[in-house]
Amino acid sequence: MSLGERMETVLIPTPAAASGWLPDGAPFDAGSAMIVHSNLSHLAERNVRLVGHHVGPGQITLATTFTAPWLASPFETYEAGDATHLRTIPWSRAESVHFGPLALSATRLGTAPAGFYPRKVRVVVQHTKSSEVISTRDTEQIIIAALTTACDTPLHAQVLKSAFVRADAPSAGSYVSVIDLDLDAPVRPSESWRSRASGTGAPASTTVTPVWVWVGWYSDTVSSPDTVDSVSVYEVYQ
Amino acid sequence: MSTPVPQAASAFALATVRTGRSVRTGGLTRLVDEGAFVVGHNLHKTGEAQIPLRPAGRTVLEGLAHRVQIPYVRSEGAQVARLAVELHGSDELADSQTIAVSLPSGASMIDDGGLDGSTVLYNPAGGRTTPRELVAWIDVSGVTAGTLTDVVQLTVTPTSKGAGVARASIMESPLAAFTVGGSEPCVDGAAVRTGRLVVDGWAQRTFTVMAAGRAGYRQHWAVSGLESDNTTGAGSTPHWSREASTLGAIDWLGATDPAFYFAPRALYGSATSGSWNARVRYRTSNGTACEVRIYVEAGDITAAAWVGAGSGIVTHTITLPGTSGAWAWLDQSATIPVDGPLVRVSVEAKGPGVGQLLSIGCVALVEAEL
Repeated sequence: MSLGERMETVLIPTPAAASGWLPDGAPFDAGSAMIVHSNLSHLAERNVRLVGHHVGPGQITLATTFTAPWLASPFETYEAGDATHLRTIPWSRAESVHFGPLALSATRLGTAPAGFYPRKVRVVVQHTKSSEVISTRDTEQIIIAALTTACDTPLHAQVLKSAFVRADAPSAGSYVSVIDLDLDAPVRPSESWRSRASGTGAPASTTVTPVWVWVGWYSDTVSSPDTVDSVSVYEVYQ
Repeated sequence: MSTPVPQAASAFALATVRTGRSVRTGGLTRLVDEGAFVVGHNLHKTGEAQIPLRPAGRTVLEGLAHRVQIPYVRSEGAQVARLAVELHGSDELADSQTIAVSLPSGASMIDDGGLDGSTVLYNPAGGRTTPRELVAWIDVSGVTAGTLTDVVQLTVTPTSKGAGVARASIMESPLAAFTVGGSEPCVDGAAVRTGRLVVDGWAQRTFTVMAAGRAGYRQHWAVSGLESDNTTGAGSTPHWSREASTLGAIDWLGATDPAFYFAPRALYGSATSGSWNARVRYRTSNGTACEVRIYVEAGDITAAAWVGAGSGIVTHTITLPGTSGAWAWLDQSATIPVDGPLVRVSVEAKGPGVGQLLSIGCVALVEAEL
């Protein structure tokens, strides 16, 4: 939904500004004003950013997503039974990928709590779940995504939002899983970025709300691996 | 004089602008705010380069001199871009590299953050999952906005134990204010005051800003890896590649038939396809022409499965002239169907044949709205 009202949910074509249809002395008519309003609302909604796309890693197992990464991460702590699954993996490069920063743009209004809400960030993971059963126990695959306020892992940085999807052996097959990271509350700017090389008449820095998008994967398969084939992260206007 | 850039879209109502009624300055102020948000705050992020460790059996990253390409097209409002680079972890002694950055014409470093080609950058210790970003700030105000062929290149020169780059990312820095004048896409907010006339120059400027928000903003889709001078064959190459001279799957170093998804802008509704520019960074080991095909389909994801829309798959066939060992870019216009909220992109290739290799460093689509 766009924040501002639109005449149509499309961009209304207009002549180029310099093509002579706005001559000197001509009044700015209400119809043109409405078109500009409508078009700018449409652009504010539709100018969504693509955050990043990643290939692979391909086959994943308990050894590659859990055993080896935890053994190689002596400074992190595994927490069994973590309902968010943020502590299921140590978020090393073997079993996760991260993107960013993305400076958030607020294009939605909310009332509980009141304020401007940033655009939704969507994570799409193409993956497959194997049918492996180990001693009558169904293997499982978990894909976790999180928005953090720093480039640090979700174990250390502030997590603004996280979610996960899970598949198990009885539902083996191919998946294109969607994880929407939709913030529940407005967020305040947290960093100051350089925004102009020189300070001639304008500020040279801007306060922004950067986020990093983390996507991790876990599998407890042994002989019949699951796969993660691609990760796509982008903003959506829906 | 400057005009502020809001960090949120405006919630104006069309009812405030009615035929026969005077245009109120309050409504115009919101219009100026919206224009500034569109071209000054909601700036774009490029596709990232992601360079995981090479799988077993392949030439390893450690000690491998390599380059990373990130297509970057400047938005009209952008003045500064933030470049972030992360290195792989390593426990080796003398695990370092230097990184030089090649910028588009007109760009210059404000602060290179050590990415100067001479500073010795050590790889972070292994086992500590906390990543470390090397951040450079780039003045892009002199870069011609909208140039589809601009690229930022990292040249990584490691020691024999240097573990290399893991990730590189570019985000344009949102502005706090525009400098009013002809060089920046803004309307002087201070000119819109009660009691002042709305002059035709102001109106023209408003339409110019609207055009900048439409055509000066480029969505970037990219899968970018690494390129190097390594010339090993299909079984051990560190690059994405295709050997066979038939059309088929690219060897993505582990992933099988990956597809990628994103939401296109679809500015004109579902019936008008988007104009884009396809870019391929590649190398052929001999003079044989090769081919990349990019398949694009509009649709949506329902119940964890892709459901294509009515327009079907649009195929873009890109012929890659043989380069006999040199890396090169090839550009070709492309269209993207938008009769679904999402787009699915997949890529196949045709290699030079047995014993030879097509290597791919980057495949990208950059919006080319005119």
